[in-house]
Amino acid sequence: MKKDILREANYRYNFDRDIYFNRKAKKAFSLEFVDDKSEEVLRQSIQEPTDGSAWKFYFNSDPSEGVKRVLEQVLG
Amino acid sequence: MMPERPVDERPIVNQLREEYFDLLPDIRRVVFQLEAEIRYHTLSTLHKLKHYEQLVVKSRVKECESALKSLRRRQEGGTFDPERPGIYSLTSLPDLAGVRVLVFPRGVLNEVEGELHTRFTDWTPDPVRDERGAVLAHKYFGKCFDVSSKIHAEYQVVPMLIGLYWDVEHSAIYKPTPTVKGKANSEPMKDLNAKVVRALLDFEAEFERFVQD
Repeated sequence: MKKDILREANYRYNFDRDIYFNRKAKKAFSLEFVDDKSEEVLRQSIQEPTDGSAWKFYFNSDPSEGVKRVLEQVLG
Repeated sequence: MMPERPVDERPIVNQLREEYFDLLPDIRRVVFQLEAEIRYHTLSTLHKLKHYEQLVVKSRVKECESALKSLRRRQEGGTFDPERPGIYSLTSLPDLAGVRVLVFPRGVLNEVEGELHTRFTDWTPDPVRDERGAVLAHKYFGKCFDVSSKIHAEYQVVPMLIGLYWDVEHSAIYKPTPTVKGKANSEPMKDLNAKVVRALLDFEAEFERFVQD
């Protein structure tokens, strides 16, 4: 189950924005991305290395800079 | 009230609030028209109900904050794009005006659903399904062009027991306090919700068998 994969990787769900997020990893997955992509893609995305300096958003459609800015304010 | 919005989103939210109050007279007219039509088209069923059968028509105008939240949740990531403020309109929502018909038991519900479907032939079906894909409630959306070409309306024909349960559940699950929010959509709660719905449907089915004997 995709939810179990995310839970095991310490992702929490933001009910207001419908996204899974992990502050330590600085990654966020949209509900649409999680629904549409395979478990394999989800695992790869969770494991994908980042430099951790900025949030990385996994969306079906790339979010604009403005959307990223709003979500960064929300996620802290 | 909606939680505090990030600064970048506020202009869009304010613009949509303004749109809501511009649309409100139209929404009210549509609700009034749809409710009146539905009451008229269910009148023959209402007049021949047996003493244990029930048919109740309820209507509602979607509240401003609920409409804003609903529109925002339709965007990926639940976020309005501050760089594209002009692309959002509450008129894209399918349920600014809504009428719910609560019916008991199932036999009467099927009759009402058929009568209304005959009247609203060009409305789009969007049934509410359970976790197995079975239809729990009939839902349609469309427009009442006689009174407004802008507002989409929705009508539902719902088993009464489930509809009344949803009234309580909606307040508890979908409009929770912050402390409840994180727990309300948990797997145990979803499982219990499915069991309640199943029990209500089973009760209704058994009741119908009982009265037909």
